[in-house]
Amino acid sequence: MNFSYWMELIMSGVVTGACYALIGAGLSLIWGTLKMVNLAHGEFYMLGAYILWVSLTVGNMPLLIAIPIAAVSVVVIAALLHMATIRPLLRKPGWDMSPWILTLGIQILLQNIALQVWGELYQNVPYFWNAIFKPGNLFTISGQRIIILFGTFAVILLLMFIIKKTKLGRAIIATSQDGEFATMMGINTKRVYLVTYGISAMLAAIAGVLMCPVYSVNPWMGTTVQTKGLVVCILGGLGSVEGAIIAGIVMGIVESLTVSVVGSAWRDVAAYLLLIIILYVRPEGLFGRKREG
Amino acid sequence: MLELRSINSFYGDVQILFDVSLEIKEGEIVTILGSNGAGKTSVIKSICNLLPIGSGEIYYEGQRIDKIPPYKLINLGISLVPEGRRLFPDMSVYDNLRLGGYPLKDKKTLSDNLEWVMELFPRLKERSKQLAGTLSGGEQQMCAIARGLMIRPRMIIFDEPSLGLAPVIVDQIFEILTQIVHENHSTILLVEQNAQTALEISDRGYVLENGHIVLEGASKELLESPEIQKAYLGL
Ligand SMILES: Nc1ncnc2c1ncn2[C@@H]1O[C@H](COP(=O)(O)OP(=O)(O)OP(=O)(O)O)[C@@H](O)[C@H]1O
Ligand SMILES: [Mg+2]
Repeated sequence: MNFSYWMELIMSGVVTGACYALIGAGLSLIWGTLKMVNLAHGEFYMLGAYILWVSLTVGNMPLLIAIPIAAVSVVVIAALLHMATIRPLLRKPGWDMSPWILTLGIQILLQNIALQVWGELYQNVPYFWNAIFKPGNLFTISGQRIIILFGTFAVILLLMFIIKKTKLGRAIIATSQDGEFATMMGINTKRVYLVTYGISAMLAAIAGVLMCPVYSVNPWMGTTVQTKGLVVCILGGLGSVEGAIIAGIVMGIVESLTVSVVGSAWRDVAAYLLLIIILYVRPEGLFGRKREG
Repeated sequence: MLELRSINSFYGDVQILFDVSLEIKEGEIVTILGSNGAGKTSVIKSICNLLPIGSGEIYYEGQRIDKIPPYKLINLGISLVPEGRRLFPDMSVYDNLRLGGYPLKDKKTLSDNLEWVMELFPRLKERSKQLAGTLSGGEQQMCAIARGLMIRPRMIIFDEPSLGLAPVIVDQIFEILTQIVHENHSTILLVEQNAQTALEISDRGYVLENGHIVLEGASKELLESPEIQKAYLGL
């Protein structure tokens, strides 16, 4: 157990954490604006991976075309689902319950469609970049993991730019703080709901695209990731995108250290223990705001 | 400028407004009086289509507006300062004000208008970086009014701007309201329970009771009318 061993453990934790961060950020965005939990979120991750796999193997497309195709297709699917199912129920009586049932239904539906179309065999996507690096001879890291890190970093930077610096971002923040009154400022909140849902789905699809060479592609790959995404989203403070991102990375590192120190069976135990401890100390999550009333 | 023709509004199956008709001419200040639960806020929500009307018609400058979605109203020059202020609590004062100018395309107009409202309320300039949710009640009301002014609205609707404020601040706020009209030739619809002051600054008034308009007239006459004096002025 030397320095490079620990370094590799942490790097591997950060890579998994990057995936949790992308999923958690999307769930947090949806929670913040639509005030609902999207139980079909992991399926956007799964679809991103499958569409990439199909484009690469069946379509024989180059990677740089297959990736945008996967991301955009998932956004289109998510947008259509949103308009057909979520929009008609939005803020109608029963809204406290309806998104849970609805998105659970969408989750089951999408998993079974994937199963019917692509079968139950686990599929593999080759690494985007078959290289191994030894920065300063301190530790080794694969090209794929470097791509995951930089890809996630770039996407999160872009997301933060959109939220903090653009008019769309201001509309999203206003809608999340007071959706009804935001309309009186001239904000088309229906469109904000659609756009945030689409952006969130795209984040999940990108996570699926980046991670699938490391794991494998199958109809159920979204479920564990989604559960972790929800944990991360609560940990970071519901509705706080920054919180979800930081909590995601922390969660990835904690899991990776647990796996090597006490064994892989303890991985999820550590994740939920972390959740329980943090919520015990800070019930509003790491970056959530206390609300009175 | 704005005309409601016998509108009826409902929350679910419960009827709240009954054949409400009223008219506001350009440049006027019109006030709606009524006790708690009379339906004043419901009238405003109906105008803004936040509460879609069951029947009736609403015209703004000759154009029918009761079917257009609420987010388009601000483009017609209509601005709302709502009941309970409804500031975006986790945004700074500055960001709240800037959001009030959301529909403005031109950066110059936006910064001019920001400067103008900060001049009207110097207090907000001092506090521009503070989160709106942490302002005092009076400051929050100023911020809500300033936000409502950001587009230099042609018509501005106030829902109980004086609620919960000290008399000194109420006077200040009403003074600014009258100033706005004179400077900008804005038209104002004012909902108030503070009948005395509201009638003093307005041209005409309507009295709402249980969702019915029961009295209307020039503010001067209303001030003299025995019913009003008894019910709203405590004389
Ligand atoms: N969202 C709602 N759902 C059901 N009933 C409502 C709703 N909002 C208001 N009401 C009812 O409609 C009636 C009129 O309410 P409204 O808010 O228009 O009164 P108001 O004149 O503005 O009163 P106040 O002076 O207290 O603000 C009240 O009886 C109220 O209980
Ligand atoms: Mg009211």
